[in-house]
Amino acid sequence: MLTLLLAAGVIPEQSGVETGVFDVPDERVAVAAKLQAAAAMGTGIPFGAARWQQPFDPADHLPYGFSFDAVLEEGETISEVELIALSSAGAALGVIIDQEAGFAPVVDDDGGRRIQIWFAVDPAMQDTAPFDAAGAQVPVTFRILTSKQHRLERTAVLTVRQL
Amino acid sequence: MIVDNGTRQPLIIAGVFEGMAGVAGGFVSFIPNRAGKAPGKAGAGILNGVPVLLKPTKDADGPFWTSRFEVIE
Repeated sequence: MLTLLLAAGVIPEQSGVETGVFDVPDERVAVAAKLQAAAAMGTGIPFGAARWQQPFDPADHLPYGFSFDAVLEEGETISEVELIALSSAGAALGVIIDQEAGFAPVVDDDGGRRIQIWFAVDPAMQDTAPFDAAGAQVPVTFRILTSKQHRLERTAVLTVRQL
Repeated sequence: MIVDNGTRQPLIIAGVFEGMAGVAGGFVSFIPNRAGKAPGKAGAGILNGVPVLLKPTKDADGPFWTSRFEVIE
């Protein structure tokens, strides 16, 4: 019944945004560029996507951040995170964005311009060959709605390899 | 908020790959495990029991080949 009322618009859908403490060191924060370069990076990866400087070991469970700070206007904040999507390569490797309580994605409660997510890898996949040597490139796409009703979608690439 | 971690689905590409592939957002990724054909020559496969058109290209970094897929009606 509730679903029908939501679909009919009788009850407004609760969107909002989960906020929390953004506790991520700089090397694990990727920054969306205001002007994105047109450099090819591979199939399924947008040209000029941002990169996380710190690679991720498949046995790690750590927070990583994505900053829209350079893209947003002065005073503009993230009012809704619509989508966070992993690539097909990430799915093949058992990489996941954690959604468990305490580890689910949050928007920085100090400024509202950055998103924190926790990565993990399926334990059954942690010792597989693709993580050896240079590892694998895993793009993650973020789509947000801002306080100025701007919708932005940007991608960052995570290197997952044995450290 | 939607968090889409993608899925792992069975993929068969004759002479190129047979096993579990990663699927997300209209893309499929796999690491070739058959040596009968060059992965870049693969034009079709069976994804989760459904025939699909493929055009795989090697990722710039890493071992994966990735392709958009279209279901053959």
